[in-house]
Amino acid sequence: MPTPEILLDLDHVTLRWPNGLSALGPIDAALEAGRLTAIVGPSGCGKSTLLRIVAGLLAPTSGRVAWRGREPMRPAFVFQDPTLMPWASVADNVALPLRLAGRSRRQSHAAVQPWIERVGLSGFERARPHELSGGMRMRASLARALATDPNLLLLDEPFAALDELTRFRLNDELLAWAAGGPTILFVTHSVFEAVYLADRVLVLSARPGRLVADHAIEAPPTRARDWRASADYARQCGELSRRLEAAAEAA
Amino acid sequence: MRAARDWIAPALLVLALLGAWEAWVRIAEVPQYLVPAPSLVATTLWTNLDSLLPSWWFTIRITVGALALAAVGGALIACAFALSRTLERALLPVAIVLQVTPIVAIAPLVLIYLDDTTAALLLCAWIVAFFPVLSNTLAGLRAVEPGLRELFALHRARPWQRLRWLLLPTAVPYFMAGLRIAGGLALIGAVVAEFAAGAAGRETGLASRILEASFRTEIPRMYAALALVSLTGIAIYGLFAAIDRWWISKWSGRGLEGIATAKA
Ligand SMILES: Nc1ncnc2c1ncn2[C@@H]1O[C@H](COP(=O)(O)OP(=O)(O)OP(=O)(O)O)[C@@H](O)[C@H]1O
Ligand SMILES: [Mg+2]
Repeated sequence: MPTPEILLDLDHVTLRWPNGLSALGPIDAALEAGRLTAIVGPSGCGKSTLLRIVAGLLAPTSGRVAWRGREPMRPAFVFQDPTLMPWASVADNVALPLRLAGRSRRQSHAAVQPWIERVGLSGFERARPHELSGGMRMRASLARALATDPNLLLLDEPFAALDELTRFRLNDELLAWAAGGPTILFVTHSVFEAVYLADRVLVLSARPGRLVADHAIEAPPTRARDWRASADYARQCGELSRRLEAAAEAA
Repeated sequence: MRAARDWIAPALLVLALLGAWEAWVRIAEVPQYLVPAPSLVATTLWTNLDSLLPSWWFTIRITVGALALAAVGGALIACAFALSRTLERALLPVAIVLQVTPIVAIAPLVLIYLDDTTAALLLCAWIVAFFPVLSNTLAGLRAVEPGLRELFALHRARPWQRLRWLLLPTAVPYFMAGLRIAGGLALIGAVVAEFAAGAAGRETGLASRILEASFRTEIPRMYAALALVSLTGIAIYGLFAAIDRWWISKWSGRGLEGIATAKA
């Protein structure tokens, strides 16, 4: 097997907030192109902060984030909150990144329509965010990210607010979509979700978050519902759980 | 209907107060040159309509004109301040000085410097009205949700895109709240400045009618003109409250409670 292409290098990245609180690191890690990497760790350990640093929204206090992709970085971010514009319709919200890229309203609406359908929001194109449930808002936020055709997709607990059925369905959707090759960095609180989705799980310690385990997931070539029920899946979840517990104690 | 129920209680209260006033004036036999009965004020209003209506129209024109200029000027200055901290540091003190100095103290100067009385009145009313629009709009432009700011940064929004699709929509409800305060202030500015001007010029407003009536101690006529000023103020307030409610419910489902209002 050829060594996978590195898309992004985290080189001794740390973050300290202006108030002196040390939030993260030092972290050294390399993201492999086309793979889905999950990040798990105790609440407040700096997972969202790490995602922001990777996206370039936050400069690390020390260390370096190096993009090694052949084409320039086209990031999309699903924030922990839906971050929708309250004055705009679902369609306008989902189409925003395309409009910022210079496409017309009509073009961008046509382009996002399939994504609105895929996240199960057809019929709500003209609704305002306040007319949606929390889960629906999150799905709109997801559609907005996917519609930009990113080469780096950053997801911060995107499914945490969803019911389990929708969550499972979107898990499978994400896998199907990810098979196309974009690199995904996925923060989750759920060990089960991490094992189901990820090729690799980075386990962070309690704040300031440091990498305490780099855990590979061994999955069948195509993951599907019945894998969720298998003994193999349960075993890997148990293993990851133990690593997470150890991480929470390693402060 | 909810709207009807909302109206009935205050309307009844006003009627009761007017009734009590009327009864008091009649029973205690208060002379009409001290306090006229509401019924007398109403008939005076009716018989003097010929002189009061044009004055009312004049006051309304000054008020609405000043308010329109305050809306445009306040919003534009706020945008300029939001784009440049330096500009804000340089000019905000001037705006504050204009705001905290009583308009009665400024009006005589304005009237000296400007030959055209109508322009001077307009400027005075504008001076009192623009500040709440400015300060509210500025607060709105700065109230952008951090998450949305990050989203726009991530997708490399250009400054004008950020202004048009993020800052301005965020500021709209704040701007409306400022406008609601400015409406009442523009009326006050228009009336006060006219008092300072005295009954000069061909076209004059309600303040001049009040001054005239006071020179001739025609108390019922003073009350009649005063009633028109109050009605105008109430109408302006009601109009903006209605626009606000309609706009905000349509716009975001967000109530007014969530929006900070910088008081004048
Ligand atoms: N703007 C900020 N200023 C100061 N401290 C902050 C700021 N934002 C976050 N923090 C702190 O940084 C730490 C990491 O925050 P972060 O949001 O990255 O955690 P997280 O791992 O995503 O947590 P969760 O799983 O609960 O979402 C937290 O302890 C938080 O208190
Ligand atoms: Mg987080």
